[in-house]
Amino acid sequence: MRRLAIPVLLLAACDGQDSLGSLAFKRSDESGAAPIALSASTCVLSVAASKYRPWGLYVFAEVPLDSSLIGVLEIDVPEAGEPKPDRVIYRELEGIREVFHSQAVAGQVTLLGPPRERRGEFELVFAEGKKMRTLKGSFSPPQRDLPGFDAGEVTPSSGGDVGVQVDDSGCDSTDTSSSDSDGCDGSDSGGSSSSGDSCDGSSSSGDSCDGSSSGGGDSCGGSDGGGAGCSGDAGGGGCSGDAHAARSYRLMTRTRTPGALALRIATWLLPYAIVGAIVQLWRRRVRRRAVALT
Amino acid sequence: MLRHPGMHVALLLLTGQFFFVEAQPGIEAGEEPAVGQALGVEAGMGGSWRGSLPRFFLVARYERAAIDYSGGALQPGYASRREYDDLAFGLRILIPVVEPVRIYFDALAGTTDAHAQLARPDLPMLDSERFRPLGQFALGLQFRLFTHFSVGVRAQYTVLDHSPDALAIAAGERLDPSRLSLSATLGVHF
Repeated sequence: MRRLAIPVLLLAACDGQDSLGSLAFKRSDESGAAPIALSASTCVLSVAASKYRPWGLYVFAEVPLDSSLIGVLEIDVPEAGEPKPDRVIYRELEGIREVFHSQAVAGQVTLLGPPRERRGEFELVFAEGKKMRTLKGSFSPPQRDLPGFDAGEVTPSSGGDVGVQVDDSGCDSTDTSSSDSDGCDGSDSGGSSSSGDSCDGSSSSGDSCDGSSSGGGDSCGGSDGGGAGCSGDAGGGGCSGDAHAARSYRLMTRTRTPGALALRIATWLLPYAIVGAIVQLWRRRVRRRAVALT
Repeated sequence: MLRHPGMHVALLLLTGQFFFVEAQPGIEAGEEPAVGQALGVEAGMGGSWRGSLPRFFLVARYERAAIDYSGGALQPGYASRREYDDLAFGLRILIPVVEPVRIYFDALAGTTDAHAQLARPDLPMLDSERFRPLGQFALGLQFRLFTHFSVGVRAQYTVLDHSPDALAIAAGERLDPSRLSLSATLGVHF
């Protein structure tokens, strides 16, 4: 066992590294203009840099908006539990001057699998005074297609939740073919739209609102804009009873099935088991040779 | 009595020095253009074959280094701190030049627990902790002043992996995935 310590340590060293990735979103603002599809010129996905590591994911992306304007999106969400209010940030920079900075966010981030898979979708509405930015998109590591996202316009809501859903049910297979971006090359993806259901509606939405208004699959973020939803943030007779408006962060309940957990543990242990088996085979072979020589 | 093999080993151990432990306080230039403090501890076991001038030691080494940086490579107002806990194993080849002067070369491989923090104005502090593989190569000069005690100097080059660094990207900087350290050495031999 001690002999395996160093290979195990080295294997562990290779796990959890930061990786470059792809991120694309559709951006719209308070003007009511049609959303514009954009993709990141720089995108890094990191479990190690997440405040919630190893059960969280940190995403940093720089998205050129035009020749002089860059959008900077940071998402740091836990796999389970409530995200901190100040860890989901969107800024727009003109040089080093900030023209938009918001940590007042509503919406939802859906992780497609555990954080180490680094795939997810988001639908976020950021507010700064009267300014508003709506971002709806997805991210993924390199060599993986971006998960598709619903091309429909996101309805801005003045008050809402940021929730995290982790979809262990393989939701990504539903619409990976319809992603609308080529990744981090900095080029616009041409605005082609994705179609199909997003994971939001199909996974664990029924238990996302403290069980009070499971309804027909609407997420909390979308449903509480009018005040009648399940978050109860803005005086809408909701579930939680909190009364702060736009900066409310609540978790959408995550469904983690024991089977998925067992599968995850098995995939962690598999490389170590293979190394152990190889070592055992090698030792047996050496022993046989020694016996043959004697 | 000396025919007993155990006695040969005991006699050998009593008459020679086959183990050493070194403390290595020094300074280190990190992945960013900054210098910080470092402290290493290295232990080894070995010796030479009969008639061989070089001496060979299997070595284990631990080092802790901390480097602060807030210079121009970062975005304005940003400040970073990077801490490394290295653990490495390898080989030392020591060559006596002119007594009591010896030179040695170390080659080690291992891993580092790299912890980084990035403070940003008006934004939450970012921090990251991850294990990274490393290789270390060192050249040292040793003065064996006494049988059981030596002093010296050592220069070390550490190579790290080239994987992306989320904090560096968020800070708008490019890291050099290597470190260079200079240290004094205080060794005990037994």
